[in-house]
Amino acid sequence: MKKVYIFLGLAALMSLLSCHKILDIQPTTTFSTNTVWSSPALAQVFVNEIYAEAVLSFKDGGFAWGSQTDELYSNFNWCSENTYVQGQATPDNQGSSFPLNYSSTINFWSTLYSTIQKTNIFFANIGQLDTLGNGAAITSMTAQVHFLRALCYFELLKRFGGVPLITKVYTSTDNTYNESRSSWDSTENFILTDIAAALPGLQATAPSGQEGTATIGAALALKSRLLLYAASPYFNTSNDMARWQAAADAALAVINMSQYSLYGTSTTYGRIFTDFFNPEVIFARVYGNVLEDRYNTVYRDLSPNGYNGYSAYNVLEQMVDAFQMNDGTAFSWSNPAEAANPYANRDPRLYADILTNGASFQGRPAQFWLGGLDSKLSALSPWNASKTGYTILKMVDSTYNFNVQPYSPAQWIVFRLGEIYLNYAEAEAELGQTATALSYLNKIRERAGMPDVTSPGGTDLIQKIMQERRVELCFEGHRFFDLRRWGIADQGAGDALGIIITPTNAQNTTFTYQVDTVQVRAWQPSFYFYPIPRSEIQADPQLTQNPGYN
Amino acid sequence: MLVRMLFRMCLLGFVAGGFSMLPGAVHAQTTRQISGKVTDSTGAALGGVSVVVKGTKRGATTDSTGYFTVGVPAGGHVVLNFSLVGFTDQSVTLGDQNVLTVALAGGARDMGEVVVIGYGTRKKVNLTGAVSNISGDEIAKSPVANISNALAGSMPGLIVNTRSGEPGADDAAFFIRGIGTLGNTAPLIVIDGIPDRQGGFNRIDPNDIETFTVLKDATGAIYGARAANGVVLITTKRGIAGKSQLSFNANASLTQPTRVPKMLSSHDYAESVNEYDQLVGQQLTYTPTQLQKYQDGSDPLGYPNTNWWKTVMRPWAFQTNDVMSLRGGSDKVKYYLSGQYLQQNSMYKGGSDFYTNKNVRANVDIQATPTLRIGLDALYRNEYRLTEGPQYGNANDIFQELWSAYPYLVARYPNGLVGVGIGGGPQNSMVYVLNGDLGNTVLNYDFLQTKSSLSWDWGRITPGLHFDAYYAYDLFFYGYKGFNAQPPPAYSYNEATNSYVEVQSSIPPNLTDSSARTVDQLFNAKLGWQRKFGRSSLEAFVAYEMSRETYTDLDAYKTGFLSNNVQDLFAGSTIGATNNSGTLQTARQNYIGRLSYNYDDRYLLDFNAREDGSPNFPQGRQYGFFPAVSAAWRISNEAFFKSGVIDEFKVRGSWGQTGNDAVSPFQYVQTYQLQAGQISQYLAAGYFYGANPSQVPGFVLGPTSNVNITWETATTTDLGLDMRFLKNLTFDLDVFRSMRTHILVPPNEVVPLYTGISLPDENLGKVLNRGVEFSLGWRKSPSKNLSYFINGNFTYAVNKVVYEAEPSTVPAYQRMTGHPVGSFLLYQAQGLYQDTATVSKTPHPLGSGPGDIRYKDVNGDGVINGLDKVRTNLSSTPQIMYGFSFGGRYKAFDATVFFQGQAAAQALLQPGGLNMAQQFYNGRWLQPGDNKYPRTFNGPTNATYGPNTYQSTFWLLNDGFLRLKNVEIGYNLGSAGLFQRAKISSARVYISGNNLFSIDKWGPSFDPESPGTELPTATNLSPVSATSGRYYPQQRVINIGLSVNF
Repeated sequence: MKKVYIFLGLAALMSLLSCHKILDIQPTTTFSTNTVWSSPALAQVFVNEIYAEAVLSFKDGGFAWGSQTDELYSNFNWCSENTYVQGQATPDNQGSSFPLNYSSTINFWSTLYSTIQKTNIFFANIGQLDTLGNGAAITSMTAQVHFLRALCYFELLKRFGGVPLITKVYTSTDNTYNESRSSWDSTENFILTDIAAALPGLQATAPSGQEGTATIGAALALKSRLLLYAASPYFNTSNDMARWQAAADAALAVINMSQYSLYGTSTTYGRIFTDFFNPEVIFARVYGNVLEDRYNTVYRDLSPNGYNGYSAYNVLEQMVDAFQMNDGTAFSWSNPAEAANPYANRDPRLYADILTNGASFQGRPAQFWLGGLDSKLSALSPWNASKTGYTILKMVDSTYNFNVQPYSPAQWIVFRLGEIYLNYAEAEAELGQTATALSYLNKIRERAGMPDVTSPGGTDLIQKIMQERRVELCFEGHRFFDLRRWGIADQGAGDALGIIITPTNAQNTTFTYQVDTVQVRAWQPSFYFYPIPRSEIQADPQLTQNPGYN
Repeated sequence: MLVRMLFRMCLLGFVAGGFSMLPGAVHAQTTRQISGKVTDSTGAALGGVSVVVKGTKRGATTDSTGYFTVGVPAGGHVVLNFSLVGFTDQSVTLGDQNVLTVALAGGARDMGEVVVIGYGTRKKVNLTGAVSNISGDEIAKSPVANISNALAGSMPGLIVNTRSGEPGADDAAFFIRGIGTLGNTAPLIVIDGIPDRQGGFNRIDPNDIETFTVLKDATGAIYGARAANGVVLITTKRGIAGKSQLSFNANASLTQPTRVPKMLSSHDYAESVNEYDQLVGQQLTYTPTQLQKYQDGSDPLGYPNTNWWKTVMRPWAFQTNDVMSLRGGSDKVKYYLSGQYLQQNSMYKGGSDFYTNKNVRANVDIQATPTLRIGLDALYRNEYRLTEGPQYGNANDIFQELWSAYPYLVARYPNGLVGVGIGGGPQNSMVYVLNGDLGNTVLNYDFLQTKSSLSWDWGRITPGLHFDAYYAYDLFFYGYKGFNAQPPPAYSYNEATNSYVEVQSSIPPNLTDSSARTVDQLFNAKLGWQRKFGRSSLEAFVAYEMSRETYTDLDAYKTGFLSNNVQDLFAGSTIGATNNSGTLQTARQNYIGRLSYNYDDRYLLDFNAREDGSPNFPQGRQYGFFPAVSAAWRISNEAFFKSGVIDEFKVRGSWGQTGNDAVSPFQYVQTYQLQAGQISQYLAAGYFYGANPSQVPGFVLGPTSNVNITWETATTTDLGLDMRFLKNLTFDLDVFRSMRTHILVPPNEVVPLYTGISLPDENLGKVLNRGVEFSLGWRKSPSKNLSYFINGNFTYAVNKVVYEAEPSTVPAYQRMTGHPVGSFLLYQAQGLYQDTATVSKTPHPLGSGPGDIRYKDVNGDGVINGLDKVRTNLSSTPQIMYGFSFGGRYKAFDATVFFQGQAAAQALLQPGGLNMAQQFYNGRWLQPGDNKYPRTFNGPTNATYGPNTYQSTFWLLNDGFLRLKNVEIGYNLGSAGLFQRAKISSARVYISGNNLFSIDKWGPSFDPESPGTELPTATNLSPVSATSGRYYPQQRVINIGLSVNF
């Protein structure tokens, strides 16, 4: 018995003496700062996340923007697009932070700055890596992160104009926040500096299997788009020709890489978007088909209800009408022959980009006619029907059966050579280089199977380039910003139109067509820029709100 | 700091000193053991009675059931002295008997009810703190499957709201004295001395509970770092020496929702879609002919009208609860054994969903030597839940779907084909979902709780000294298996072709299989001492406690199953397979002490202190010191106090500090979390590269580190009054004030988003919680055949945020500071616009028109924007909670009625999109003069137009209600005749009803305890989310039961 007592006593005493060890616990589910920044492999993991946040795609990169213009109507209002087009956007309905996984707005003030902070953390810590043996990796990653930060600031610049330029890593001990907004030009210069910093360390081509990594072409393409914006009337109020020259040079720099070429023909045009990393692609984001991801259900989401799709974004009649006849003349509803058969003899890109009534898709003709399988009166989930009578076909691989596996691989092209040609054409046209401009404009048309245009230059040529951009780059996230940089945003703000297709025979093979308003839209002059969330202005009164918002 | 060091050293010295005396403690010889029971004059067991062998240092103390065992020298004249504060000392001269029963005189003013307090027990009359208690028998009365749902209104100081009725997931929101913090609000639950035990208290078999005690004021400081939200102490039943008691208790219940939503018919739905179309200026979706067809139901195939609730929900669900226990023992060994089997079925018509809870308990006490008692407790519990496949594994998703379900969809066509769901395929068909055709989720919780304890009388060293220790080892196994099956095809009827269009499900079956294991260990050693000196008595203890928790999990996912039939990982495809594991550790180390002084049962004084070590803080900041002092004066025991009316009159007060360390660990270091595989339903982690896209992981940054993180501290003062009049009337009153400081709050409201940082939580917040609570009871038994009682209690607790990090630019009328936690920030509605002229004359959001809500331009700047929102003064947590019950017994009949209610609470009730409750449609604005609800503003596919969706006072509802919580009628079958032959000592049948009705302002479709107005979390301090009704509704329970004792 005595032994038992002594044992118990000792046990109790020992437990008392082991005091401090008990609370000495380390995190077991996370990595520490020191671990991450001592291993190039872990630093790469950090960079992967910056890519995931900085490269916006599909809804965030294109469709939500298109639905705030004369391109699209947002059937599910996933990003509150309808709040904007109905003129009801205020600094209060921007939200302040959005879950990364399911953004309900494309304001992105919060998420973009959060990503920018990650880039700054990268710059502040990458120096800790031992350069011995890691030099190439460090140089490469650093260059990529400079590119990604430039991309983030460009996204901010597009939405808000000049923004605070943050390069430091804020910590919890900072307690003053009085950044003010930089001018549009300073923000532009900041982005150019980042691009310049990125270029020496970037590779010309990404290694096989690593496609999607930022390359020299990506950085130069970003520069081309940025300088084109900077030269455009809304930002270049004095019409400084040096800016147009810079824009032209930037576009030409990409072209002169001779690394990219136009892909596809009039009949295989759609494959530009579904053949991953084809020669036209300068920079793109891809999704795998195994796990459900943000946008790897786009094939299903964009397709009509009759195919068990969601018709998430509906193409407006204005957009369809913008596609010319295949002889290069404009389509017109007042032409009785064209109005009777509106989808015949059109620009081949119409058939590649937009699913129209009667066009074949997944083994049958689309039935957008009233009562058809893809119409609002369908027996198949009519609430998922297109309101306009059209859905997007661009970027949808029509050979992929999403009814078997809804998680499709998907590619979102951020930069492609086609855009660069149009950038170049526009800059050269503004510089008075009509012949050069026309030659690049017509390269785009020829590939699409459209006749060349001719022009005396000047406004006429600019108008033709605008028309070509609208068609060639539709749904790719350009229209919204193009209208703004040209200073004609109100022209894209008309009511959303759709088509009512009524069968005229029992076989439902002949129809009459009637254009109809799908959504009444309101234009606010403030809508050139997005509002900064009110919480942000409250947190830093130095920040000025964009004009027209209060 | 110095004080703490001294405190810790004293404790160590004390405990170690006790051990050093050990060798002297074991030499005495014992040849005879005496055991017995001590009661008061009425026969009620008395715990804590000191039993001393006269002339020696030997002795014992009675346990809470009044039993003791003591060793005495063989032969000769032996006298045992019995003493207990408040009772007359008594000496008993032993004869030959080894077992004796002693009744102590005195204590007549009180029946000697003993209440469990932290690390000890105390006679109720001698409590110095604000302590409420309820017996297990009372809790067991309400036929609920989850204890927390029986507690609303049962005692003062509890704020309880049942927010869901889902079997297995119906834990109530439970607060002691309301909410006093912006941080974690959960009270500390201590079960048999073990804090924060896995499995909590909700699923304990109520019949196993001996006492349920709530420490509401600073006396909870004895539990230090986790006591700031109050402490619940639960003890389970133990054996009693004597004849074994075998009892059975069987219950069978029918349950149904307290309210069933009345949704729009397909005609009304179509009508509202058309109204929306008109509002936004688009073509009407439905023609008058179509509307007519929906209206008259002449074409049920083409124009159906489905009442989804009726179609897929049972009117009643079934529930059974069977309990058996055996309690008894001898002087050497005492035992309490019990078992419970509870099964609850769901409301889903097709479904096999159910929940079972099985409890098996054995509490055994062994008197190993005359001075050493050993306890061995073991509990095994299994909770098993079968719910729908993971896509609908959460009942909220099912009810979300049900609330959205278009009435023009068909559940099942006349030919038996199942109609498509709202997503257009079989995936969302409620018929398939609730049939289990989309798979099932199986949840298995296995709890094994063991406690080994020893209670050792060291009276030989010095009388009254005793040493207690216990070691608890708890295991919790968590098992989850969620199989998403591929449902059969669903069909749509195509009127044009008079045919059915088949829609196949496209997502291949997949399985997630997870398991986790948690091991909790706790060791507690306590050295206690109590002694009476004349009229004074002293009681003291010091204790050391350490605990450690280790959690590991393992989960795996595979997709591409070829069939629904084999639901194990091996049958899935390796493509897309993922697996994962993780480990978490935590530990605590605490030093505890108490000193109590009692002078003649008149003046009572307690000092509590605890030093807690928590791993959630960085080194150097891990220990927190939590002192408390409380005192009471029993005026009625004074010689000068003579009153024929007042039997008991005590005033008491307490002051102390408690802590709250329920914050996520490692906030003091910057962490990088690896994201791989699938993060959520919508998001794969990391990034994809390559023409054949392959996934690479990414890092997500944890919050920015806070090296200064520290304790949340509550400083609580309580003044109380306990009275008893005319023997039968009791009145208890408490006034309290608790200031919570150093609340971890995210200051990110003051940090611009452009910094990119999620600022770490900082200990900046302050909340003041004040209130008053009282209870009143009358209990009388005028004759042998008749007894009755009436009880009531009332709690008023109001909190106010004293400091919250808010930018200086936030206008005063919008600040959380000065308002209750969780108060709403809302636009100020001024009724509805009736005409266009008024709209254009007043500031209004764009798109406003007649039939829209008119908002007040609070700051007078001529526009309606976010600056016109105003903070309310109430939240969804009620400030007033009350309950009253009455009942009685006449001969063999007994009955109890229990009402419960709340007041001073608000909720937002707003219609959602897709489908909605009929009440909103019926009340919508159609023409000038209509005032109830705005014009139609919800369109199909979640579209909304205009500013009626703004969260405004228009949708604010007074959430006061009065509920008939429980009615029970019983009949005692007696013990004569047949029963006697069957050796049945008593048998009772009873019928009871729970949640029978309530009086409130919620209309026919919503229960007044509907959730939706979430509580603030660390990341969102003022969430404003309206009630949607999209959850498993609260249940009304009709129960019939039989209990038999042998």
